[in-house]
Amino acid sequence: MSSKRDLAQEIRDALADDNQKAAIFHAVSGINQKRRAVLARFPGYEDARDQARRIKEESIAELPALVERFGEEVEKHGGHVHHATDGEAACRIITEIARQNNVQRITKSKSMTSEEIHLNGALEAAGMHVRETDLGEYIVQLAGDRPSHIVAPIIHMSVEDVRRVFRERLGIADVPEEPEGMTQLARQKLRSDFLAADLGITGANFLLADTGTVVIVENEGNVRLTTQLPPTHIVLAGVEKLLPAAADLLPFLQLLPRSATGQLLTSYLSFISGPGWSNSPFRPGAERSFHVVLLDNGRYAMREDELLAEALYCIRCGACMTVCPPYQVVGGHVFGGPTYPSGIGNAWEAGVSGLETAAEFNALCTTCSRCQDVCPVRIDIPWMNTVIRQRIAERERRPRGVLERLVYDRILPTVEEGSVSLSARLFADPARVYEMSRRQPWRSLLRLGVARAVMSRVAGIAAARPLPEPSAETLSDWFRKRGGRLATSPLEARGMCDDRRASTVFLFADCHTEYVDTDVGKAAVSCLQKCGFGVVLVAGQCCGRAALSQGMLSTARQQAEELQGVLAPIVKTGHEIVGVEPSCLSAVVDDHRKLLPGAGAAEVAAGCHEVLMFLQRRFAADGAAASARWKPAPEGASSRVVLHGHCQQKTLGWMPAAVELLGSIPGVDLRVTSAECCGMAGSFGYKTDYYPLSAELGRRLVTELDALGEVGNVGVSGVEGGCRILACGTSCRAQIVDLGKRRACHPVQLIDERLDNP
Amino acid sequence: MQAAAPHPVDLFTSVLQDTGGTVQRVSEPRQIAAFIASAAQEQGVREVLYGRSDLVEDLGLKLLIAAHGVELVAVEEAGDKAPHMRVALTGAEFAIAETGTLVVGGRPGGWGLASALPWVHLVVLAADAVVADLATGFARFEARLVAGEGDWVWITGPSRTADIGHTLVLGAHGPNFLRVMVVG
Repeated sequence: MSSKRDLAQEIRDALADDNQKAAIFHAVSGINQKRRAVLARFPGYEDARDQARRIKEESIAELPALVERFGEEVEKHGGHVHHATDGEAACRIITEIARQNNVQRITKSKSMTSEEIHLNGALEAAGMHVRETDLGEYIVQLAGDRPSHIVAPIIHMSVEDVRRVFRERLGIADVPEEPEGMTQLARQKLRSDFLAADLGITGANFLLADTGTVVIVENEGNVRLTTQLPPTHIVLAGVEKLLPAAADLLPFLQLLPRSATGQLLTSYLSFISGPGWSNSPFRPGAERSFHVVLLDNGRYAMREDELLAEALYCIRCGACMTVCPPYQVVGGHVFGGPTYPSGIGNAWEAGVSGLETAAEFNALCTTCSRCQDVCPVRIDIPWMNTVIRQRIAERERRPRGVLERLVYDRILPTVEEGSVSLSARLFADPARVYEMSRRQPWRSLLRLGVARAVMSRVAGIAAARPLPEPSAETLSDWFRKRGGRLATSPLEARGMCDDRRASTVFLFADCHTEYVDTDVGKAAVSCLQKCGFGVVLVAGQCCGRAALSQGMLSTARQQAEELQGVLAPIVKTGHEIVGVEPSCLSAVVDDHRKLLPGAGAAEVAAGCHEVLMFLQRRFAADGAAASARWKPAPEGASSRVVLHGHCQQKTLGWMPAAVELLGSIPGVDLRVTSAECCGMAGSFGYKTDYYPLSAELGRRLVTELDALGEVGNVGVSGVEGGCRILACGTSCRAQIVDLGKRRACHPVQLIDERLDNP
Repeated sequence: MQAAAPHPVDLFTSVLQDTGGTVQRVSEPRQIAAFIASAAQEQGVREVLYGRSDLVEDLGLKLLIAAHGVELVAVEEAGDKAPHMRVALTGAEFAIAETGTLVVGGRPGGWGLASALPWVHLVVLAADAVVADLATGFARFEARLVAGEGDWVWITGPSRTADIGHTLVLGAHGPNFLRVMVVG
């Protein structure tokens, strides 16, 4: 492997490349729009995802039997199956087949698996000429580049970039200016390669074990020519491409084209079951041969790995890349390994190249979860990257140094073993950090410029990023003063639950709401009370989300256990818990189940609700009476309200209720952003190395907010002519305020303003 | 009142058109022959690459097309001419309206290259071979695959790419035009 990468420098370089940024953004925006549109018209989507997931789980579980069955069926059709334990073996097998067939010229269709094993280099070293025939891959090959997306290989190139490649590498002076003309130029060039080839090499999308059939999905028609024109066809496929039976294919046909390119089906699906496929008129009488090379290269080891096995379910649609916020800015060369880009790419590189390679770009996953939302087989990519992050830390673990033991351990103790950086300690324990920073001497110290300089130097916190300022009074202090009831420990929680009134609701105050955005908590209390609920505040216990994002699983597990101790008795007595911060609530309803054994966390999850969903359900139950709750719109206020959905709020399906609820407020004209993420993503946007990338995402969001706001955002409540910007996430709001100098509030604050007292 | 589901052929027509293909309803063999001949003439050719199809044979299209001065040349007999022939004709086993898909093949044959090489791909399809939804079409397909007919292509529109500048271009490596004649 090459020398260690400097990710921060790579990010800066990518950010400086306006041409590449524009090319990527144009393409991902288009693909995402098409995918959303086609999925909106597919009522069977969720069922198909469930089916596909189940089939993939079964396939990987039964893999050795499927490999055997597939081999038998291919042999029945007159083909041959070869087994390659690693990339080198696969290259050797393919080179050997080529030699036996006196091959000189090879055409190839797109195959990430062949990139993984560096097949072209091996064939060229053996004196053969290899031609990539997928248009994007052809351009990659001409340019001496590598693909940056598994479905759209040259997503990082502008039209002018491609034109330059054709001009310089093909020696053609007058390359057409438009994509159409360039495509026709490539068609003519490649036609002669197709006709001259004596071997065609393809990948595979699916291998059907019961019929011995190779299924290849494509749009251009180059797969069809690659597989039919030359007398020999070699398929290179990872073993994970096997499905038990032809009958299992249907959900994948429904999902793959929609997820990858927003098509109902791609132009061509080739089903090939042996050498008989073609009826080539060019070599009458020539004997055809058909080979399938099944590649392991770490896949069987992934299958044995509880975590990485899930990556084998991937059907390579690339949707996780296309929606990935950091990917959308820096592309797959920066956010990616030698072969596989972006979030799922980290698990794949961990599996086929090793943890060392995954460690080079794991930090670019912000665990925002947008990928999980679009994955057709529901792979929990953020969780995989979190655990990989922990494995990386374990692998690189050194004993704690003197400074750590004498200073860090006293100020910010940690349950993690070995050395833990100051930055990780700071970001993993928000409750302690907020509590400290509101007290002296830290409160005064932190206001000094020199303190920021030290933090930037020692903890890698971006100097340009304003730090959250804890308010003088915590939410629980405010609540206690007003005579409110608090549950801060399991014992207190149990005490509160003795009160069996159905009208009591527990408000979970996450660390940010407790210490920083106390106004959001107050608004939530007020909204719930106006709806007739008695409110008990659950505060003082971190959910573990922050530690998770640092890959500190032991810390997160301990925090999760403690919070579950408080929440469990509440849910057990049939009471409901409401949360306002989507990240922290998602930790409770989603991550805790993965962190803790047993069914307890799932029971708690069932009793926890996002505040807007909770209110919407309440209002819906009230029917027509609900409209009487609202005050009339204040005079002179803009009706335009722009909502930016928080990542987990979208992923966990909480957005539709929010949109419905906010849209039902009289006089509100609601718009919703399409930006996947604000770019802050918890601690990500605070770190010096990633701040510029976070800021770029933030600026894109602000641009969209301004466009949707139309009237120009003054954003201050009650101010004439300003639109309102709403965001549930603490970090989304910080990003909008810090970078956009716009005002943003939590939706409950607008709702509280507009709700009448009963 | 619930709107009646569209006729499968109508649905097939509109979905295939969305992908850039065209559909022509025809009833008479003479009409089909005239359509094929004029497609060849539009491209300035007198020979059409032919992937053998039962429907074409049954309708006796060869002679009818020949009457227009256009000849069907089977893939097996085309030799080195094949990749340079602008127009080709195949049948389709059936079609799926929901996705605008032609299901072509079964056993290896000239259909493979005749549907991949030309600039204009003409297809004759029996109207009663259009099924409404993907699940039904897939079940029909899967039964034949399992029964040992192992080689197929599903065609949904002309060949395409959007690799350069995320701009859709038809006619990437395969046909730029896909013209389906629905018979009956």
